[in-house]
Order: sequence, then structure tokens, then C-alpha cells
Amino acid sequence: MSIKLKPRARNGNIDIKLLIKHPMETGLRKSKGKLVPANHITDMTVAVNGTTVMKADIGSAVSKDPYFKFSTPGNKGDEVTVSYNDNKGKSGSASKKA
Amino acid sequence: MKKLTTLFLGLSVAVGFTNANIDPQADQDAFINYFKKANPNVALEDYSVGAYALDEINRGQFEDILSGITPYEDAVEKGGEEFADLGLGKCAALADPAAARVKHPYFDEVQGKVITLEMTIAKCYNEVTGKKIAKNKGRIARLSAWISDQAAGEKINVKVESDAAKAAYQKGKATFYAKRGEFNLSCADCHVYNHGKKARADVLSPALGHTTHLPMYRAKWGGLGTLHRRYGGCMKNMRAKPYKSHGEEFANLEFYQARMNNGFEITADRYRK
Amino acid sequence: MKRRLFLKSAMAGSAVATAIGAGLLAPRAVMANSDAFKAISSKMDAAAASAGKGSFTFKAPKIAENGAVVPMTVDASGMADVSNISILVKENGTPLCCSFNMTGANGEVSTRVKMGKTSAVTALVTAGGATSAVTQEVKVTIGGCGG
Repeated sequence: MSIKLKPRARNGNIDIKLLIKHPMETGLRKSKGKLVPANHITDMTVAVNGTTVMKADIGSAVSKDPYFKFSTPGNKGDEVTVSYNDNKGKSGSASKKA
Repeated sequence: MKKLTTLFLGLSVAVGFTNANIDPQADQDAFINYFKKANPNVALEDYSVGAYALDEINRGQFEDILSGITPYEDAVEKGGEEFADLGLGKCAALADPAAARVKHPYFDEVQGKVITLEMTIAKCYNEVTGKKIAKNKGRIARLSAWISDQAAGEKINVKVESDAAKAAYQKGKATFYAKRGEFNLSCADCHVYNHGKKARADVLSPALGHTTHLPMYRAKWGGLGTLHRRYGGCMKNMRAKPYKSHGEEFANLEFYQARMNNGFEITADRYRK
Repeated sequence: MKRRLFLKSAMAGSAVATAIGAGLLAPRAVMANSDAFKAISSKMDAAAASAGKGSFTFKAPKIAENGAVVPMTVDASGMADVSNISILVKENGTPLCCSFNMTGANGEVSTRVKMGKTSAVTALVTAGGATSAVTQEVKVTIGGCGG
């Protein structure tokens, strides 16, 4: 599953917009008469130059293709890394320089 | 009464009905004036965002979505990759994607009918791959969205010049104003005469500006879809049997609607409810 | 009597098994939100109930255009030592939507949330060890046009 990561350096901070392509199924939705099993991100970690700045617990109520925007102190050239795990044991990550 | 009507129609045919009375510019001027009068505080270019121009609460959410990473950004990028991978630029009609967007819909004098961008894409796809492409969503919508993105900022400029083109335009206009279906509603009933009002929880969008942001992403679809997809869905909602996508009725309707938007900028902001 | 009860529950067990097999009842493995997450949800819920009113900004629409995609922003950047920002949707099965633990990142976050129906939504911020909350009602409606 791909991650769109857009870190932008601005005045001593890095503004980070990211979108993770993920169905975020709640396990309550029916498709063709059958329940679609839960399939959602459970946690996400954001690091700058290898140091974790945020760790999030994510529930099934986050919209499909989760979008997040936040900021962290940093400068142009710093490398932002986002990684996640989902309830099916799958994971993904992406890195980009601000 | 019926005899009189038949006599009148007969006379019209006998005289040789010309298209001299069809004046798209006069139609557009009247159209714009109608909406200006109805909403004196809405700037003309704002009609490009449709219902959001008249609905502050939802406009905030619309702008929120646009300021983030839009749910369709990925699909549009994919459309660009598919365009390149399939080599659709080989078709003369799509060699210049931005120009292709601005050109469509147009009246093809040789084929004697209105051609929409999706119809050209479908034709090119078939020539290049030998396969048929689904008409309303998926790949065709991605390709159309990417092609349309290339023309963002350019002005809509639909030409209605020949007699045959005017006749098609007039048919499209007639479709727009004709009542149909179980509810006996025309496009105009909601999108002109009752625009800005609510149908349950939805604000009825004004028809002015309808074709600036095609193809659109609808949150309800969770994906991109073409104008004909929207037309078909709406007709079904109105309990009317929908016309065929890429067929004459929808092509003419798109032709009329697009002509009403001449001068509006094509936008890449495709998000709708 | 006892035998009947015993048989009844045994039968019920197999009915459940059948139901799971038929995809009619989702077994634990495919249900959303782990026990651990639900525990965090309960903890945050309790904290929200006893939290004082927050001075931070919580932005959510009064009427959601689409319940599947409701944009929300919590901006506590004016507060010092923000260690956690959580969003709770009261009427959702598990109220906690997401919980962000900051170990360096600034105290603000935007995201898009699914809401099943009209509900009070609470943004909970923990800063300098203390929690404060801002709650707002978000209406979720059923639209008319589709296709």
C-alpha cells in the first residue's frame, strides 16, 4: 500500500501532509451480502532523521485512505519517515526529505 | 387545438425551419443574468465550485479537503502513468492533452454528432489496444482527469457554429428543460429554478459552472466519475430511465451545458459530495 | 432441565460456528479495534469525562457533508508540553478514533474521520500532565442525490 508523503520546511518547522492508501474496513460493512473483515491501520510512527517524533494509535474510524497533517520542528534537508502497521500484520513505510 | 398544432408544425417544416433563431450567446447571457440576479453576492467565477458557493458549512469542508492531500490525487497521477504507458499520445486527437480538453465537447461535422472527451479517449484506447474501455469510471475517468488537469486554468470555449452544430446544441438544451420521469422534473427544475435550495440534505447546485471541474471526484462514489456517469445517476434518482453514456442525448446535453460555461476556467479541483 | 440448557448452549455454539463460516458473524480475528486499542479508548473516554474545558482550537463541521469523510483539526500549538491529542466520537462503536502521542512533534493534528451518525465529538489534549477537552456536536445527515 502506498504512502503519499509531503514534508515542507517552513520557519523552523516541517509541515507534514500524508495520505496512506488503505481501505480502513471497520469489519461492519457488508458487500454482496457478506461482512467485509476488518482491515485497518493500527499504529503509525513518524520520525525525523531517525528520531521518533510521534507515535499514533489508529482505530477503524479514521476515513479510508487516512490523511494526516501535523508539524514538527525541523529544517530543509531533514528526512521524514512514516511507517505503519495494520491489523492483518501488513506494514508500510515511506521517507522523504523536507 | 390539436389540428392547429399540427398545421403550425406542418407550416414550419414547409417553410424550411432554419437555425437562424438559435443563439447560444444570447442563451448564455440570459443564463448568467438569471443566476446573477438570484445570487447578487456570488462572484461569477465562484460558480465553478458549484453548490459550495451557496453553502458555507460544506464549503469549509470542501476547502479543508482541497488544502490537504485530495482523495483523487493518486488516481489522477495514475491516469497520467496510464496515458504514457498506453501511448495514447499517438492518437492525433490526444497528442496535445491540454488542447484536447479545451476542444471537447465539439461538434464533428464529418460524423455529424457531438464528441465528448471521454468518447475520444474511448476511441483512441480502442485503436491502441483493440479493447473497449468502460465508459463512466475507473480507467477512463483517471485518463480524462489527468488530461483535464493539463488544461487547468484555460478557459472553456465551446464552438457552436454550423447549422448542424446549432441543431445538436438545441437538442441538448431541450433535454435540459424537458420534464421526465416519475417526478416529472427537468434538469432546470432543480439546477436552475430551485438551485441553492435543499433536496433532503443536499444543496442543489446551480447549473452555471457545472462543467468546469470534470471529471469529478464524488465522496459518495469514493472515486472519479465522468459527467455521463453523473447524468445517469441523477436520472435514476429522478425515476427516469437514463440515456446511454456517450450516446447522442448525453453528448448533446453536455454540449449545451458546456456552452453555457464559455469563459469559465477549467479547474483541477474535482471534489464534490 | 439442565440437560436441555446444556444442549441449547451447545447448539447455540454450533449455530455461531455456522454463522461465522457463512460470513454472517465476524469472528474475533476479523473484528476491528484490538482489545488494547479498546482499553486506550476507555481510558481516554474516562479522561474526557473528567477533563476541564480546553483552551485549544478544535475545528469540526457542524453538519458533516459526508459521514465517511469528516475533516477535523485540533490545534493546541499554543500550549506547552503537549504529549497527546486524541479524538473521540461518542456514538461510534469504539469512541476513540485516533490517539497521537507526541515525543517531539508539535501539538496540532488534522485528519479525516468516519462517523456513523450525529454525535458529540471530543478533542482531548494532554499537556504538562493535565488533560483538557473541547466537545462539539457534528450532525450527520442522509443526502438526497446520488447515482
